Amino acid sequence: MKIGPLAVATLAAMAAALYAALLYAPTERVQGDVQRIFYIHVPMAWNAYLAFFVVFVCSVVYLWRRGLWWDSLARASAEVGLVFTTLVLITGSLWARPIWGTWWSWDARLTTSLILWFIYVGYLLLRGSVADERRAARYAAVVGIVGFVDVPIIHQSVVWWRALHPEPVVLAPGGPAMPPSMLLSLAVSIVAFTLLYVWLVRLRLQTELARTEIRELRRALAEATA
Amino acid sequence: MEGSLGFLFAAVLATWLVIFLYLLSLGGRLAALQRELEALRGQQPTNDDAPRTKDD
Repeated sequence: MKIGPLAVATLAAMAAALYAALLYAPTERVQGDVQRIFYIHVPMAWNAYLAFFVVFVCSVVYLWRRGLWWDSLARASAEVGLVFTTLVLITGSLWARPIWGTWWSWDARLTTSLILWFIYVGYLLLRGSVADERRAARYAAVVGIVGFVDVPIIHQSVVWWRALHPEPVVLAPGGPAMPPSMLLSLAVSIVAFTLLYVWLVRLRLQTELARTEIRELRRALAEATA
Repeated sequence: MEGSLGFLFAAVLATWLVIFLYLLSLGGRLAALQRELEALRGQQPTNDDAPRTKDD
């Protein structure tokens, strides 16, 4: 694995995000230091949404144009999105325990987020269980499109239903409901995690493209020896 | 909020650990695939392997 400019920029941004979250951002008066989990949890949730939006777009384009590159990108983004969603659920639980007094609650936001996690576990399992590459890509594209419906539901869940989960503070109707230093820390973290998302998807896409090339070379070799 | 620092530490640690392990697994997968790719490219018939014709 080569350490290119994107990897260097990601690592530098992640170090800056860590500094902003742990040292620069002020301590929240009511929740104390545990509120700093917000600077990890929110950027990862944002990137999970972005990842599944990319899956959605690539799935639509794949069904339209049938180009395998789009399917490979969708698969790469789904896997990275699943890693991010897993971390959203873990960090959310670690915040909930001291604040709510429980690791988990069947609140609308948490439940719809868990459903999202299962949708993309299903997406990746489906891909692995269908032997025919084109058919697997087609089925996965349908799941990628239908599954994305859960993302706006998650976002609106705290508005539509009575929920324990805090309402949006950045995209609040009257503008961001937080001090500028907290907003800046959050912005730095979002940039860092977005760079991380791009880097991971790029690496994952390289493995996918290498696998496709191996399959084609094997086919060519089998034809040459037949 | 007393004792909340431990939860913050656990969240940061879990995040970096999961990302680091995922990166390691991606790097490992990519390296293995590239090795396989190189080996397969080496097996590809080249022009030198092509049967000689009368004109050669």
